Amino acid sequence: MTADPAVVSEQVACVPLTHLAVGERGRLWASNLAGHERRVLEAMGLVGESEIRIIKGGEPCIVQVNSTRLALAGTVASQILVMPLGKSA
Amino acid sequence: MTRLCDQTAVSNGDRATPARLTRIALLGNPNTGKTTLFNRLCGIRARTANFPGSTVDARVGRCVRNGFRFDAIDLPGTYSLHLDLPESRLCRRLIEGRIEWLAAPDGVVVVVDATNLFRNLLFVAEVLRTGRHAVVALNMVDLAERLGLQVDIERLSRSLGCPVVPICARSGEGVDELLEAMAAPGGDGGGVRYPQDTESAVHWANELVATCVGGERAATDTLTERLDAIFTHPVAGLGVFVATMTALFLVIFSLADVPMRLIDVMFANLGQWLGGVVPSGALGDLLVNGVVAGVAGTVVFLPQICLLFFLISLLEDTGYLARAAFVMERLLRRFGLPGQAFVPLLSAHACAIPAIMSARLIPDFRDRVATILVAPLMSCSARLPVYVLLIGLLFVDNPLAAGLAFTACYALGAGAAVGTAFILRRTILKGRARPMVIELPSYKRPSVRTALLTTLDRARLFIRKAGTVIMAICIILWWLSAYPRTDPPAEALSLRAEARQLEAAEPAHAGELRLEAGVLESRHALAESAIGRAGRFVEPIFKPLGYDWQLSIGLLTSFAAREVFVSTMAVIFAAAEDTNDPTVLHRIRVARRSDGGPVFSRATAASLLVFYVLAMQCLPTLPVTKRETGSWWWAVLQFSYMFALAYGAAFLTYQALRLAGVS
Repeated sequence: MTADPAVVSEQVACVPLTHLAVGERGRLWASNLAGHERRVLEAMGLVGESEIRIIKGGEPCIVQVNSTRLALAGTVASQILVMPLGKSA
Repeated sequence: MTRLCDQTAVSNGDRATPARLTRIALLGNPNTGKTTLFNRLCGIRARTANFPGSTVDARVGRCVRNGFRFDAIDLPGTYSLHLDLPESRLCRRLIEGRIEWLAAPDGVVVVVDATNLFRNLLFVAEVLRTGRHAVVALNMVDLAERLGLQVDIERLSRSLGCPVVPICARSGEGVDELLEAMAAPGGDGGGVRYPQDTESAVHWANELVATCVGGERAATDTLTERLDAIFTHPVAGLGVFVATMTALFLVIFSLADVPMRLIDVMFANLGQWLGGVVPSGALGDLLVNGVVAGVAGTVVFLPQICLLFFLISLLEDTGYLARAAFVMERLLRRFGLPGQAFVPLLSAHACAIPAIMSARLIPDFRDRVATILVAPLMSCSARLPVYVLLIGLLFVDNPLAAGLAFTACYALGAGAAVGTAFILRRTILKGRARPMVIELPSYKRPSVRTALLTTLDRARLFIRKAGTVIMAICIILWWLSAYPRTDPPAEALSLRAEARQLEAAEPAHAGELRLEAGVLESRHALAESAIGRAGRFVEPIFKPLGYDWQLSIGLLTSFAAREVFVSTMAVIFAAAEDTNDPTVLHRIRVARRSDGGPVFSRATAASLLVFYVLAMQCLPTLPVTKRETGSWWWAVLQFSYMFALAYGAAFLTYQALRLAGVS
């Protein structure tokens, strides 16, 4: 089966959340987290194609997802892959 | 264990509350104002209920309002009913009716934050899927409107297939309408099909937000942005944290001082009055020295505990505590502790019991147990009298050295706590630390009403749990130190005889002689009591630390409460209660062992100081540890490792000082 070229190009463009700079936004693409952490983040609103904005970089970092502000350990943030959307307006 | 009221039909005054609605549960995500609504409904008619086998608790209360009368249960906030977390399990078990001693609620109020509808709807879907009669309380609608959002309530209600009532829990607006909606017969859900998995729930919630929420939310919350820039800054954030905590403890220690003194005086007067009313003998002695002294020993810390919980509740309500946890995460994580551990660790400087109780803020079990196990190593206020006595013996007329010794005691305790946590997380509490994932809630004005009700609840819990235990222990200790009764020593009898002869001619001197006789009698009674004999029996164990049988008695009597060491020393060496009295200190300083050597050599005093910094010597803490960890194993481990640590460190201190020629 041949992979969808659009998906492949998106996958290539994806970066871990920790790679985004402060003020930069990204669209949730995938999460390499398993089990408990994944379910907690989903329940906290980090689902679907949520838009994530970096409020504070480093370890731990602060991100804004819709109306929720989350503090994430570096080990969690580095497992979240996002499609960069550039700086917020 | 607290049980909700039985399931009888309720009298409803002038309003027709369906007889079936006798019990409702409040559910919701954290920080949605659920507890504020509960407090609005139940006020002081509420208390904390413990759930067997669970380390989380819920508050239960009775709502009597506007003709309605029912029981309400405020469940802990959770993001989902299906997480592997105690609060999630408790909510799930309760609404599924799987708690044996508690019937499932007749109705559920899902409290929802109107400013964060999408995420809250994911949770609403989970609750509605259970088929329980539910009403959605759309809280903070006023705030949502200020942010430029308008929620179409009717449409949302139709789409959810259940009543949606806009409320403002803080002001009470909409609460009566919420009760009306709860009392109305539940519908059939209007044929609404609820999403069955995460993906469809996301799609469903997105669609609901798109169709039911109008207006454009202001892009950023500038106040939150500005405050977060300071409070979570690596340097400024730490500065704010240190300043906040310093202010917190300054307020606690300064404001608690007067009520603590008042309580002290009140119990002293009560003891005196009882001593006069009850005939002298075993009963009087038990009441005055056992019961009253035991209760006083606990209740005296109540002002500190109340202030601690009141201020922490206010801070938590503002949203600041989550930022403080963020700042501390980096520092504490190196030692295997989570950022949230700072509240229990700092609170432990006042008293380990409320500190252990406040460890519930920590979501992960291993993190919580590690924090609970090390919290009593922080120097609590009950250690202060012991520090004052021993440092006073060590550094006479040298305030600078005494001050440094005080600091060293606090540093030794804190260092031992983080060091032990480091070892625990790499041994018996081994396992990947649950990484930080916390919500930073919006900043808001704290509710004094909520803080007062929380304080009242915690104070009740403290008195009930610790008060009864410490009183029982004090009675046992009193009994052990008072029995078996022995005849007064011959020396005391002759002094009393001499006093009787001098009564008329020299009443002042006769009084002194009687006092001296009393001292001798007290010493003799203690030495011959069960605990005195035990002191001699255990002397060989403590000899390597430099302690003779008299100090061993001190260690045994202070086994339940460390501050008892000071009064025991006063009884043994001076029989005076006031340790500020220079003569008492002098007598303790010059006290001799049976072999003629000083009881308190410098090496012995230093060794005792190290022992008291590190040893548990506080039995009431153990039942609290058992309660919060769910097992006696952790309580026994806590006591054992702290004793071993204290013994080892005191041994090293004593032997090293002796080798260095310090006597």
